[in-house]
Amino acid sequence: MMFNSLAFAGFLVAVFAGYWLLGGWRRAQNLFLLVASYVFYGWWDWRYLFLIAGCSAVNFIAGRIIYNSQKRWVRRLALTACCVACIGALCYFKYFNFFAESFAAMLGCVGIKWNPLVLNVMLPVGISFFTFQALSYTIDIALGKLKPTRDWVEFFVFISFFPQLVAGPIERATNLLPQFQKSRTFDFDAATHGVCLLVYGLFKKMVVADTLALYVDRAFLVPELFSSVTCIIGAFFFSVQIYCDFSGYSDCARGIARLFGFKLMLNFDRPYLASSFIDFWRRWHISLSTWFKDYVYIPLGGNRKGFAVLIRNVWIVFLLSGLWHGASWTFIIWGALHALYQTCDLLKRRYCGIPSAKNWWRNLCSVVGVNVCVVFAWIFFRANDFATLKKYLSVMFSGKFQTTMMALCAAQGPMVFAACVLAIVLLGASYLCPRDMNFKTCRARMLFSVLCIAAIMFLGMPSGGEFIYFQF
Amino acid sequence: MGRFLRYIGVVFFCTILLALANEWACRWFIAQSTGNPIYKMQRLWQSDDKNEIAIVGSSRAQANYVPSLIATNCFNYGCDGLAYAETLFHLTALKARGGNAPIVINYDPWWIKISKADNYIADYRLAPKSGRVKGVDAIPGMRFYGCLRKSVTDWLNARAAVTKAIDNGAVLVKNSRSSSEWEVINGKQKPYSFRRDEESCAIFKEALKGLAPRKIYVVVAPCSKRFMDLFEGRDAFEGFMRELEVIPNVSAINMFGDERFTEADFVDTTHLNIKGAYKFTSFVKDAIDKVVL
Repeated sequence: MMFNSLAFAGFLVAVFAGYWLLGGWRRAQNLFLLVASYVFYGWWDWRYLFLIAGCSAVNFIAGRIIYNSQKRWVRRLALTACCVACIGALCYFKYFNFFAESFAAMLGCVGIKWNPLVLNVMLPVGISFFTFQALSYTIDIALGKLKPTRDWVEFFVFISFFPQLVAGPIERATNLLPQFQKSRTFDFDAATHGVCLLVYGLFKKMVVADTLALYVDRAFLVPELFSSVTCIIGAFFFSVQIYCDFSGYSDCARGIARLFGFKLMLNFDRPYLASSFIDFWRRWHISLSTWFKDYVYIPLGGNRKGFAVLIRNVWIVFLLSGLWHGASWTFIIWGALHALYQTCDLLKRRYCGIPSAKNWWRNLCSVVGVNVCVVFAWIFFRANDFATLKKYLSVMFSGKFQTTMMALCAAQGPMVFAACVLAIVLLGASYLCPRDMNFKTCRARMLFSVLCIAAIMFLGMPSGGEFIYFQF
Repeated sequence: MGRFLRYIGVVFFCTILLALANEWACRWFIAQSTGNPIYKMQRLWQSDDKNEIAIVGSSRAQANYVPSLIATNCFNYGCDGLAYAETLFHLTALKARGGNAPIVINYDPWWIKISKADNYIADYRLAPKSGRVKGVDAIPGMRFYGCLRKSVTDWLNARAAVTKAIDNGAVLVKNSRSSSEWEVINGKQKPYSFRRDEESCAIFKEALKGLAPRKIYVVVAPCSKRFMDLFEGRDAFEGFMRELEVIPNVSAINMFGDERFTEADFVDTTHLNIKGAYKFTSFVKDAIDKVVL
């Protein structure tokens, strides 16, 4: 059940009506949301419900033990057992085959033949998201930042809250859990803001991302049929596609949560306007970057143990971030590229200082430079395997700039190319709206919603694919 | 909550208006472009021209035949992605129309396998008589969601003919390929085969017999040399074509592997470009004329 499906529209209306009919009865609302969230998740495959329920139960119990125990070794044991269980499940479903095959390939390099055991299991939707969210709760308790909840319903619904369950934002217990502990009353402004975010998210996905996917999919499928120009445009289009696909989901999630009286964290803050790589990661997938910052980077010492340790920590975080995205070497290289960019940024800051923000020309050059590097890194992210990557990069750097109309349009016709350009122009126009689509007047919100619906109605794709981040 | 419901009501009302506007625009563009598959479905079920020579089949039918070369009252009903079962559905519609005009079926040799799936093409939206309109497509306004770009593209192709030319339903591709592109296309070609399925063959033969006394031309279009090299079961396929010729109202015109066609005539291994389509259609016309004489 995807946000851009009619089934979800029916589901949302039913859950919205049922939820607010319960009035201010908080416990009943939480229980209702829990049931709705499990129905939503079970829609993909009911067997996954055992996984999410198990993950929730393990973290709930571990949180209670860590908080209540006076003995340090018990607390450590509970935390370790919880992390092993959660990360173990994640590794089993997501990384087992990757590590087994990589290990076999490594042995093959030294002449040892080994046929690894390959698991034939389907990756549960959103496993990386809810595992990280659950772990943040237990770690926060262990760090003394949070008191565990006594109410299992509150905790289970915090883990499985359907708007952000399958593709984030990865919420922190410190932000979301207290919202389940407070009574919620209907707020007109919050709800209309939610509608704005929801339709804006759908616009990004159904108009921009799905239209660009037509071009991008073809360009990455048979790059050798096209020219350098096609590959450059394809990479640029993919950078916009993935932004709109993922931030579109986040906007929908935040909008739906607002309809139920919850406020989720901002996950994207106009990342392609970043003027440095450090700035880019403050704006892109904020919930994941801050998760890695709080639970990996800072415990490793952050920037407090000298420059060399700082660089090491940056590399660890970005390699892990690449691996989090997918069990493939292309994702790890993508992470490594970003680690390299960060290293360059940090070196520049160390030896040249932080540039003045007042020089708009320098800022513009920085924004362009950052985007060129980010777009290049996205090629590694998009390529399904090394063969595709090699072909794509060889065509891109072949210097074949003479192009035919067919190659320029990636054999999709000039109308698809024009639709892609129009979609990007419309996305740019939406940047003129207030940040986070927080219009002040009700009329402005209504007008914006109707304009987004008009764009979806006239330019939307009939059978849009899944959200890209579902696979993670 | 009441205020919010009013707010949502206004947004919902605007959504309905926009959906209807989209449907109106789509209908207008579709009505102007014969290459659009929805137009073809509408015409298939709503036209009562009993003298029209119909060409049916998949994307190869759509791209390979120039109807105006065959006759002024010839129309190409070929659709992208059309499977074998759907062609039987087309034949049912033509039978229901009546008349004695001949029918040209573009037959793909790897095609004869009836799947259990129902018609999947989404182009029945404008053909209520087909009895296949269901689900979301039955909701006015919703049925044309996502069709505008394709409708405008087909409309522009019909007028400006930038990358494709439209001729009585045919969508003729103007591109030609360079030798380096052919290397890539040939390298990616997968082997196809004719696998005889007795049930499907019997159903097809019965469908052809049922169209008597109308003359049916079962035409097999050429494919590129690389495709032919990889194709398996050609003898069995030729045998099947001979079986079809036994049916009194059927003539088989087999140009599968015809060496008069070179890579310069193709846009890929199985579809002709506009130059190849004119060449192929003139051969088909000659063959039809001979049969008629």
